[in-house]
Amino acid sequence: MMDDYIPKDVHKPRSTLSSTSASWLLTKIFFVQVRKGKHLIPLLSLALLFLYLSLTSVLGQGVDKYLNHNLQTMLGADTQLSVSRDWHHDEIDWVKTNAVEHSYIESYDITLSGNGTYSHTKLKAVGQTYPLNGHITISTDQQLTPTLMSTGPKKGEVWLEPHLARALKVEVGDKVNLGTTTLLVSGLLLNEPDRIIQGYSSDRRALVSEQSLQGLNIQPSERQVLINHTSTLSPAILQQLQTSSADMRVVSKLLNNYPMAHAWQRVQNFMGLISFVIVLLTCLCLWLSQRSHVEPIQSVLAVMLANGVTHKQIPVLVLTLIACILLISFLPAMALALILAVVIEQLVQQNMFETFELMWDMTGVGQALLMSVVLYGLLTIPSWVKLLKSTVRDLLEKRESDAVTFIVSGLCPLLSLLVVVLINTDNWVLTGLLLAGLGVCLIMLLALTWGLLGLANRFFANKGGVVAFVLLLMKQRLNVKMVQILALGLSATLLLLCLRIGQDVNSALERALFEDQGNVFVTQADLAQKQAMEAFAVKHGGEAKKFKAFQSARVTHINDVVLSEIDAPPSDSRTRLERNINLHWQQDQPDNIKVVEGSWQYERQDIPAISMEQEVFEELNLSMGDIITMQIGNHSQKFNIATVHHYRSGKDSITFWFVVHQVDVPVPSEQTLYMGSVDLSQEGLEHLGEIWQAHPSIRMLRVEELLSRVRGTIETFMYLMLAYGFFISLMSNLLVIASIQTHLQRDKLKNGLLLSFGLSERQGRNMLIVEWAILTIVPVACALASVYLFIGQIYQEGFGFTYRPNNLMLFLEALTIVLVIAFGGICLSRKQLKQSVTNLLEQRG
Amino acid sequence: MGIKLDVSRLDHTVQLVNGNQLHLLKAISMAVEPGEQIAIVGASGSGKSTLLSLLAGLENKQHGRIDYQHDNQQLNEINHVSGFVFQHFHLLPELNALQNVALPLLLRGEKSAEERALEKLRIVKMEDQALQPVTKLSGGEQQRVAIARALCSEPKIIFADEPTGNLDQSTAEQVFEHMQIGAKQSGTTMVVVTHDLNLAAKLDKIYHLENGELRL
Repeated sequence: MMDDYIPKDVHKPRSTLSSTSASWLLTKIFFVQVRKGKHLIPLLSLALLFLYLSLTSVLGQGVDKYLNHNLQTMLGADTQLSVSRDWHHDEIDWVKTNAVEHSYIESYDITLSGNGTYSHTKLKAVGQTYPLNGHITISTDQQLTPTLMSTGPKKGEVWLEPHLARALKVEVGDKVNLGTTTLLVSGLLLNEPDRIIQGYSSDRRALVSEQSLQGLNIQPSERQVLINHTSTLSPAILQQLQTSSADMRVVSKLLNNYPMAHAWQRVQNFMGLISFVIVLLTCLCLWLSQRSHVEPIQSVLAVMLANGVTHKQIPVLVLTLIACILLISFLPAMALALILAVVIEQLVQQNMFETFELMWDMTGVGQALLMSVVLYGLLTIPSWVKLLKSTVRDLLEKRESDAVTFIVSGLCPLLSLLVVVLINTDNWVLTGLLLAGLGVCLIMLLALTWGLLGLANRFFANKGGVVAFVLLLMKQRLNVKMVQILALGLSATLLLLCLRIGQDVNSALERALFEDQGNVFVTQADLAQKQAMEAFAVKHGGEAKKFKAFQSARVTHINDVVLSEIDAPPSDSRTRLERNINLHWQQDQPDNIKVVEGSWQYERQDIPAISMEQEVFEELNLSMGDIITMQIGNHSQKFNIATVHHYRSGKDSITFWFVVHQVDVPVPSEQTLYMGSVDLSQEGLEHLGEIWQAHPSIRMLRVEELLSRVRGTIETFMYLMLAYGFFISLMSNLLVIASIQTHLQRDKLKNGLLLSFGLSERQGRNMLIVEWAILTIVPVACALASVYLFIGQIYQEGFGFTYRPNNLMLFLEALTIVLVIAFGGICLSRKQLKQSVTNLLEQRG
Repeated sequence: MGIKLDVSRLDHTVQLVNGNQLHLLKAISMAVEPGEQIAIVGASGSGKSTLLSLLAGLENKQHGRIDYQHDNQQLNEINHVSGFVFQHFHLLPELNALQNVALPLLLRGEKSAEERALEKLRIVKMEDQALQPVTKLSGGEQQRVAIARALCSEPKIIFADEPTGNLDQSTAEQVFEHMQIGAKQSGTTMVVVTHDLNLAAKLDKIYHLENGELRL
């Protein structure tokens, strides 16, 4: 093979053979080896690693920035502060110091009147700087056609939510009264950028300029300030503010407690974990294939050393070759990354976010390149060191390494792990847990393999047969098999973890899609209105989601003491209970609440059991078993507090403060109302005005813009996870191939010899089954144990949710990994056993 | 008693890289009696090793017949009654000398594999190095281990492909002597491929392979 490529000066006297000619020759021979598939695994591993790193550099920053921006606009500002008292001076100073721009908001519980009717209203008064981010959505017509506004209503004007306008029997252009002040209705309020924080209740809401309220002697029930802060503001400063003003509610993108922050945090942590895992899998691939990668090069270099190349020239040759290896793996990967990035940008712009654009940060690509080079260098250094220290004869005869090379080959993978940890870690707890899991897996692998083979050998010692032979041979060749067992064990641990976490994060995201919630939220409708809404949805190609029944009730007494006289400090809950609440009933525990005290099965025949929301229960200083009296229409009804609950996200978003544990309506003679949502088509949304006109008292809210943004964002999260999962599956497949290939390569001599000793087909088959069973079951069992030990903490620390063990699924996934690798290995090994002995013995190197 | 070998009109062709075919063995016929020790000599590339691989059943034959008889019984396969000595020794580097020699016996489930392996190492004067990793042994020592391995399962026929090709003259003679003595002691038939005419002369018959044809 070499004859065709020998440059002319090879035949010159030894001293004149230049490094350039030698490098050229080595490179040419290397390319011949590549064409024959000799370096496929390391080159593919490097290319995939670089593709992944460069793609995430080019694409990731754009996605990250876009999603962050998108999520933060849901907050309406960088940070929201809320209090239910006056602002303290130091708080106002704090805002001045830390805000680039800010907007104060005051919320009032007032009564508006118009056209001879009146309605209790939650009035939001805003300044000229409102909103800081995003737009207010209003409508000026009966069809509720949305219009985006960059500022709030002008002085003397008010925007009413449509159902409030209906209740007051006013339209755009009419006037309403607030005490002695008259306000012009200049729009119907559909949504505000900071609305998601406030939640969707059946309260009637209105938006007004703060200037309109000057001179009115009314006190706000809540004060808020929206802040876009300086770049120097740190989470610690916000936490300090929270500590000094304990009753203040602080919601901030810096504190990650903005809407969907948890979902985004989980996705980010998952992506971080996957990045780490992908790099680790690449390292394992390179580690596994290192010997079969470097040995053919060593043979060529040995021949070159014997033909005039000096030892001093070897570093130059090796560096040239490494540059060549890096180039042929990186250039195609780089080109593919760029093409993919542009294609993805187009797809995202066309299908999801029109304003999405890539951020061409070549520093990131450079860092990716550097990291790949460092990892490749570290993982192959032992082989190059061996090469530099060996004599020509050592190289030709493939003699074993000396002590120094042995130590270097142990240290280098550890160093590469250190590099991966230092470069890739932004969540030390998660990385620490992952490394602890891998460490435990490693110890178990060493102990179990050594112990199992030792015990099995002792057990089968006098029994003979293929099993005993395989076990003996494996024990004797443990140093050869150990690399494969360790690599498989570690990668199985990573794969099982990724599979579990990926599925659970994905399920959490699916729940956040609010698939059971429509784009029009009906906060109050009677039976006729509900039926009309359902019919309207069907007529316009939409779908009515689940409606929940309730009765309007007012809490009058607690333990026979009038509500206003109970011994509890003033609170939002207490104030709110002075007005009517929605009383729901359900025989079984609703799946969107979690019972924190008591049991849903509690039954007391004389007084019906009721479940109460935890915060209200605590603010009113109540105890289990307390009796609560409600006025429902003309009837007074007592309930026994049997359970305390809080809302559990991920299911139906409609929840109630009070839920009676029963199947029947509490007071059948009184009106039953409904709350729910409908998913309308665009056509349905355009004709929504018809429903308002036919049923003016229906209370509903359009949330299509918000919902589509939430869904779009969540879907992007899911696509991102899918893309990362794709890389993981590519890398793990490559690792499995590397593992099988390493095994086959190293077993060629053994199999050739065994065939020459007369190994029968049946013996061969049995031998392979036993061997691959050990090679796969031991690593996967250790991986399973390691995952089992650490997954709970990884879930808690990294993803903020409790791991609900799904042992069957975990076991099935582990079994699948065992079967895939074992089946692939057995098939390829059988193919090898069918080759001629001469072929096997000739190809072994 | 060794194996009787009857070869009749054995033909073998190989495909070259340029697409041409090389007729390596042309209608070769030969007979080897039980316990007989024969040499096949010829120039490099003449097809000696291919012929040996075909005789040993390591390669599938294309045309012709090879009959094996032991105690007047026809054998379909001889892998379980044959031993093979390779030019490049082919020892498993992870195992020591004793473990390498015991390998064929372990495969057959022999309980006293290591004792018998040590016995064979004694024949080739390698018992002192039994526990040495084979990578620490010299070429001659490695080949003696390989011979001990071939003798270990007490084969009825031994095939040896350039068994001394990698050794110096003096070591080659010693190694060859060990192999010959070992085979003689058990009446084993021996087929040796070599280009060393001096060594070939020590055997019962010498066959010359030239231009695909075999002559005595």
